[in-house]
Amino acid sequence: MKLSFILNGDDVTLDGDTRETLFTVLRRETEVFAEKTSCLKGTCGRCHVLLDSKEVPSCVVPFFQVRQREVVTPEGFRQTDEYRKFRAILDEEGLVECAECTDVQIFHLFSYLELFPHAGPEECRMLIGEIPCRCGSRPVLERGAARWVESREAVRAARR
Amino acid sequence: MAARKKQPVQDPHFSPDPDLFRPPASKVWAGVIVRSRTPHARIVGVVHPPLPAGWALVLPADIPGNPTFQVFRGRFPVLGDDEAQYIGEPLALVAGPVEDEVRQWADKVRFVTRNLSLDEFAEASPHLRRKTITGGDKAAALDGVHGTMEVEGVYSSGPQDHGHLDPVEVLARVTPQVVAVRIKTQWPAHVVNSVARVLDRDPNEVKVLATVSSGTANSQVWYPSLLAVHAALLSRAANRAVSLKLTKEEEFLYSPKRPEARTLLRTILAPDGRILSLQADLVVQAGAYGVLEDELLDRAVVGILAPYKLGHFVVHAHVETSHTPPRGPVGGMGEGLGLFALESHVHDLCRALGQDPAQWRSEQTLTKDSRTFSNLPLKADSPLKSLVPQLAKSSDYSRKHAAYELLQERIDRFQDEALPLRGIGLAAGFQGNGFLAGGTSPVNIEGRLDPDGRLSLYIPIVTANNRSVQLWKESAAAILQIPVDDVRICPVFTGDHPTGGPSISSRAFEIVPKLLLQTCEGIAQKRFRQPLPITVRKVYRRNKGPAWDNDEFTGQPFLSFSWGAAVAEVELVPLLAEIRIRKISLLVDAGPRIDDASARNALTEGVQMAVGWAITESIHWEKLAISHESFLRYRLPGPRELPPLDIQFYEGPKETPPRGLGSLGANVVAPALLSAIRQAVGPDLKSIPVSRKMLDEALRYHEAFLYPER
Repeated sequence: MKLSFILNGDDVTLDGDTRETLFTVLRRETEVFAEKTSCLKGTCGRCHVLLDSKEVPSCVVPFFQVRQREVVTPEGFRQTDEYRKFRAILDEEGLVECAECTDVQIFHLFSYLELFPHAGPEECRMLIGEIPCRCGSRPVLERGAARWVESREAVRAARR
Repeated sequence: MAARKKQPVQDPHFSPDPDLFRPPASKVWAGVIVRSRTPHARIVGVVHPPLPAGWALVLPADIPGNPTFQVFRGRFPVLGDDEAQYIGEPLALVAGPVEDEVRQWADKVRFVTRNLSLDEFAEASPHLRRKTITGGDKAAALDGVHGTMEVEGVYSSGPQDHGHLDPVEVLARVTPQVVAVRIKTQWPAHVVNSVARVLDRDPNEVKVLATVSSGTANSQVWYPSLLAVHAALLSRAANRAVSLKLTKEEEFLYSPKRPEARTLLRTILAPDGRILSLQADLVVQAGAYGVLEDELLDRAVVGILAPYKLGHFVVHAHVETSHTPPRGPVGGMGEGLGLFALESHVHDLCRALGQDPAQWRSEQTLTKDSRTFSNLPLKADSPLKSLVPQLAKSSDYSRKHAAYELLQERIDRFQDEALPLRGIGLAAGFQGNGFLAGGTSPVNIEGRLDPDGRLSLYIPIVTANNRSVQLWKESAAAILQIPVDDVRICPVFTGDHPTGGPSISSRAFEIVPKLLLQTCEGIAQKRFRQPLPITVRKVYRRNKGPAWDNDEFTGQPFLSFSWGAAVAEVELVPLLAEIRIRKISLLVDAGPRIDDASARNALTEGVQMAVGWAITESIHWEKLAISHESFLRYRLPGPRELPPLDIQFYEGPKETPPRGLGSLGANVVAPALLSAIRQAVGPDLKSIPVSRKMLDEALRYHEAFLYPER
């Protein structure tokens, strides 16, 4: 079964089986998720994608559901200005990058902020905790998220 | 003058062939491990459906080289041959084009087994290795000396998963000329040697491209090498690239866990609190084959003996093997097991003495001119002498501890059971940097200054730490006075380049900066005197000192020690039977910091490891296998359990080099947490993880004590 959809801004046509999940097909057919593994039960957060702007775990989304839709992965989000700006804040805060979770955490945070633009620092803190990881970057991510939220609020206040 | 524009240059020394190391997905077959379903039996045959045309099946008889896998002094079969030792042991390997189909086929493979006869069972049953370490007068340690008080306790700690999000994945391609392996590993050199040995190839023909891994020694020291061997065997049989990916569940069930340990400690105390004699019985569970048993056991013993002044001591240390998956290093190499028992025991003995634990620790820690357990004279006071009082002061430990103790004594005056119970715990300890057992690969660094002015550095440390890499670049650029952008840290690729390992934080922090300095200074000396390119290679050599004697327990055990102390404050609401950590304070002495953020990150990681080990991460065994429920319910600490951290660094003399601190947080925070919980709910809790059930029982006991009429 060949399906066409938009992947990180590019039109793609990928070959997959009806029984396969989006994660499996992306991993096999593209460079996306090439070196990642997921829990395959939708809880670890490693394979989250934006499917028409809604964050979903790709390991439990059937491949056929992406026909003619738009998929954005953490790798795609990495190319955006928002990512670069937030990453600059994190670097200032002293982020030690985690190969497993940093990009996923940022992606997860921004997906939530897209839906709930007025989320506060405490919400962001709980959100970062939703992606479990052994690394020690959580305090830096929390501080960075708080600064980001405050700066967004400041921009909104200035506009008002 | 126009700025010099540099073209990207193909590095002649670093050229992993993309066809070998990153082949297109369509050319890669999927490999699957066929595992034992029985914990212990003799294998007499294998029954499987017809193998689809072209697929590859590897059985023990198909191994071309040495069929054993070696790590330090431990050895075990690459594929269980005539006997299965644990559920999940690899017995065969299969590869085919589509992973799901290969897994379905592998599920249908059955091994014909028979139970062992009594004689065979006696011969092959799990063994118990014993080691006795004594100091002072053994008879006095065993029979007791005249003292005021005897304190005894049994302390146990459970297994812990490494908790990485990404299970290990290996890609291997075997050709007549080369064996190419792409793998996430901390120890590329071990992968090279293991694959060469099993495939009967020259190690120079084995090229390993190491992808980034986490920095701590979390289960990835030897386990990826075994999977690399499996993938290489499959690739050889299938004559194409094979990728071996474990599922999350497969890895959880069969990858090495932190070993369980159970320690009985008995101390006899003088009126002033000195330990006149210490008797310890330590049992460490090493799983099947006892991989790394020497290292784990010796480190655990050092954990008991190193921190404080001991009169006479005798330690009976046992390492037990069993028909469960092999254990490995998780959250440290083993000293945390001994430290957990010792520090929990210090909680008990201070309670018996009625003494402030901070005061006891600072009085009983080793001082200048005293001798260590391994009979070496100390040139200076133990760092704990300064660390403990400083931390106690900054965290207001002594006042809070006394207040909570008083609260416990007068608690019958309080009638509101919804009031939270509070406790505070202190623990001190160390991290041993370097390996006791030897057998690791030497660290060496190669630097090459090219004619275009670029510097390439080959550093055999696999790290995802962007800040460390940037610091390496900056320090090299500063020495050679070249732009930072002209310094390249090459990916870890074995072959013609230096290899070393395992990549652990003590090596990254302690050895690499020294070697980097020497390498760059070497290049600087030759620059303008020799034609470019100039290549300099430096190998780390351990300082001369009394060598560690594994049997006698004498000499210098580690390359160095990093010391630390932690205070944990907890709160328990009886109605909820839930532990809330209010604050964790940590004070460490690991030498000068190369990068503050990296040091804080490593300690935070250790603290999270300790919180999981002590509270949230529990593993249950059912019929010699980890239960499926454990996999589903296993939970790393989340924001609810992770409190505000107060991390401070002891500013000591600057002449000491930076030292590792990857597992220091885990080593000291776990016992501090248990002490705090015990102060809040009672002294009977002596094992971790503290499950809700254990807590509920302790609270019921507490309630019965408070309200006997109910």
